[in-house]
Amino acid sequence: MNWLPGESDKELDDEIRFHLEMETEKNRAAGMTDSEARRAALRAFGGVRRVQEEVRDLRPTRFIETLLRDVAYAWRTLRRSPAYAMTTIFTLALAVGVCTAMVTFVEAALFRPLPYAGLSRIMTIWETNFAAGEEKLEVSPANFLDWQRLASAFESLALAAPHGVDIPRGDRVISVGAGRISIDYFRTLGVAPIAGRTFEPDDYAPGAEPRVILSETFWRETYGGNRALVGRTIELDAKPTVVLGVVPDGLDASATFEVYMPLTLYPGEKASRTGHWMYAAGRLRQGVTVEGARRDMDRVARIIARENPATNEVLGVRLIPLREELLGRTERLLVALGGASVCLLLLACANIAALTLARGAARRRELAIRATLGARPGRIVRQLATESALLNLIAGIGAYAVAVGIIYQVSANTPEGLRRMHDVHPGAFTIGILLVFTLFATALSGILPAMRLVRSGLAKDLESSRRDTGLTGSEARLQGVLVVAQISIALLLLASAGLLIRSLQKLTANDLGFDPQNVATIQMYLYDLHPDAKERSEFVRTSLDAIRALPGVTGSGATSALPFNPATAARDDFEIVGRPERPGESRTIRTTAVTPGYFETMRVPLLAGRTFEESDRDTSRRVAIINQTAARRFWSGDSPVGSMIRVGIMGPPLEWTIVGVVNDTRESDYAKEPGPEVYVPVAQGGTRVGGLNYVARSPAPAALLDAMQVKIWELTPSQSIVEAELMERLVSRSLQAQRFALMVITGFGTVALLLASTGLFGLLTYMAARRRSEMGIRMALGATPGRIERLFVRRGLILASIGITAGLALSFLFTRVLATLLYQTSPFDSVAITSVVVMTAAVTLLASWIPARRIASLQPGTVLRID
Amino acid sequence: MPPARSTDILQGTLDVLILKTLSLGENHGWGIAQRIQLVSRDVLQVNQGSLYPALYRLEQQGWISSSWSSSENNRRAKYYGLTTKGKRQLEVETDRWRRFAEAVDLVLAIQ
Repeated sequence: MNWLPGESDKELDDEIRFHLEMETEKNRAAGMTDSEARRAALRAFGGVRRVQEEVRDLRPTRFIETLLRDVAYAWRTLRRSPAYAMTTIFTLALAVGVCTAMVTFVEAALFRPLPYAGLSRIMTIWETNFAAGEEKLEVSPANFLDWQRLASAFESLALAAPHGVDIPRGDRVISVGAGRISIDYFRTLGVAPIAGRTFEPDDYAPGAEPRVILSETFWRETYGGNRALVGRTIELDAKPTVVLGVVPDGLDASATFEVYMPLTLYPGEKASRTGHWMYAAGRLRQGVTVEGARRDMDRVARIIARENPATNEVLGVRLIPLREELLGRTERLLVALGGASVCLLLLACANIAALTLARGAARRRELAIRATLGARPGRIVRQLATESALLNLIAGIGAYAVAVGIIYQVSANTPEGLRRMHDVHPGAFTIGILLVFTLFATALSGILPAMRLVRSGLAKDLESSRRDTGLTGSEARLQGVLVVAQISIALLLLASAGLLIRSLQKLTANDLGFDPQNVATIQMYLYDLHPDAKERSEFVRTSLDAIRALPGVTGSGATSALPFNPATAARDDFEIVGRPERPGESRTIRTTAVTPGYFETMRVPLLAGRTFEESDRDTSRRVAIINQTAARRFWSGDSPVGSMIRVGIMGPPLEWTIVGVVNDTRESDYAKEPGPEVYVPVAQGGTRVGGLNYVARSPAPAALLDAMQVKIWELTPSQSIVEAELMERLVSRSLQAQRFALMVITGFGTVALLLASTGLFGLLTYMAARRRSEMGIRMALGATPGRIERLFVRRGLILASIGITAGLALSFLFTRVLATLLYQTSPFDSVAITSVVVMTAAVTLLASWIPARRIASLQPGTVLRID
Repeated sequence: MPPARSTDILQGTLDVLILKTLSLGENHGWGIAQRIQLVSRDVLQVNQGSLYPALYRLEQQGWISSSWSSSENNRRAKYYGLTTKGKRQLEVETDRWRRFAEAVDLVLAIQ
């Protein structure tokens, strides 16, 4: 940088030289000796360097000039200490990258506007059954019609019935999730179509030609986003259907609808108060609060119960704001993970600050010399800040790479239940937030230690002619504080991880009631290709036989409701023939149709009676099997085998004789306790058993997945398959959110403990180095190595126990955030907390013991000679 | 930073002293320092070094100009001279200083 400033530098130098020569000459003329004259001249002038600096500071180009010089100097300094530079860059890149990615997710998932107008006024509406402990039941249509009649809190109410339809895609027919929706559906949700229009009263007129509305993704994936499709006809369930419009994705809180069709309730549906399978939503009137709406719906529920005591005595209504229903889970997970990442960033900053301080201590002499040569304190802080800014800039670039990597990895692998985490891309926001975090880290990890170093008085250092390069007392104290902070943050993260592990252990210790290993499953809708019940059950039997004949297959069966596949569950009221309902008793039961071989294939233990056999046909006596909970709840101790019940299995109520009792199986996740369930044979199961899940057991289930589909297509080439998945994977999918949180927080916690113990190790090593001569003297005077060792270990343990105590306090304050992710685990779980404390204590003990051991094992003579 | 603060106090005074000195004729830095000391009968001990930042500043303001030429003892020296702008500034500064001194006198004269 010697172009322009260099010229005027030389001019100033010449001018000052001239001045000094003149002054010296004058002094000589006054009778001083040569050297006296020169010294007097310099004294009168004041500091030459200082004057030069001051003049230079006045130049307009000064700022950039200094900056460039500082950067060049910083670059050289950092190249001389690559270990420090690499550690800092690596740590910050990681921590800032993680935080940036997390905030990008928070923004994308929680802060971007959803496609609903007036979202805060939209409620999802559910039923509850307090007798059966059901807190969130789907809605039965007759109850919904009464809400429409009686409720005053809502501007509009909407109903959707899930349904499957077949649509040709390429040379295959695929089955897609469809919603039959009431006319107010899109108005209630406040959603406008992207193309075309939504349903109008004409579309609901009896005899209207079939019409459909597509969701955006389905429209793009299947039809390439072709706008000309609107108004044209596509084939739906083998019927020509007019496409009316396209609406945004993800409108449905509970089911995934890819296409929408008009909902006209059948007479049977209109009267049903016992089948809970539809979804409802409502838009609150202007000025009505959520609480007000809850009170209103409680009132409505009581009126309905009074009018229909038989069915509605035990039913209530539950409102969940749509935003909570959509984003609640994501929000809770992101809050926990975001908190953990901020902890990690703070910890990384503390670590770098400690490193910078330690390094500053080692550079004390260099800095002191610069200060004596005329560098003002502000100038030195600026130099140190430049160094850390340069480091942070490089770290920032690394952090961007880390953030982008995490964003793509996570959004590709997020559990499905977490909305709006899937389509996240780094953008301007990511870069902005990265800059914020980088500046924050620079301030915390670079500038603060620099100011601290300078304020502690650089000039004194040179005067005191200290030889050692260790930490001063106050720096050691500050380092101690940093180490304590690190240990406490590490403990907080580890405690969170510990709680999640405990919770997961408790969850997976729950008996599933069946053996998911080595089971392959495929899900199909058979109704449309096999509308005749008799022909359909014949097809089921032959196809299951064909699958059983595949190599390696030890069993096969089918069920209308597969565990851990909640979309297929059905529920209805039932009666026990000859025994009237006791008051307060809720005879609601999950209804499932299965084939012979299902219980054997899934290894569901039979507890009494028998399982289904091929001889249980539509012509023979109707038989049913109940689960243990149903037996316990409704027969309390008596054997239910031989009793008759009356229940509709996807059809009108019929009478069934109970022939067996099987173990409970978990419905949809590990946490939820199984409710009462009744099984009937598919062959006897009414007219509408359409959706079936085939299961087959084999030592090589992955290969079986493909083989099963091929077998089905051999029998019916146009059969669509909704899903083909290993049972084990369906089960583990239910734990994805917990596993995901656990993985991230455990990772952070481990890194945190590592950083904290390195910090402690470093601090004690410095202290040991500083007190070497003292230790040497002590040893020479007869202190045993054990004593010296204990001295340092005690110091480490004091810091560790302060850190652990602070960490425990933090845990008690913050692990509450995790409560919603935990299962039967209190945030104060003693096993988790104790083991984390023990682990932290052990690691910190090791971190203090090693440096202590090292100093204690030195020979006193050696120690003293080094100085 | 105590030294910086004391030059701050000196600044205005030093500026007017330099301008006044240069109004008597071109001079170099050392010459200015000697002259101030001499004329003030050694009462004003200018910290010689602080002269140079002040000279630089005055030149930046356009009140003085500089050129290199040879000195009385045949050395190359940087000579400063008052510009027209500088002359006007000297009047303003002198006026201001007088009023300031009078005001201080008045205050000190209070019985």
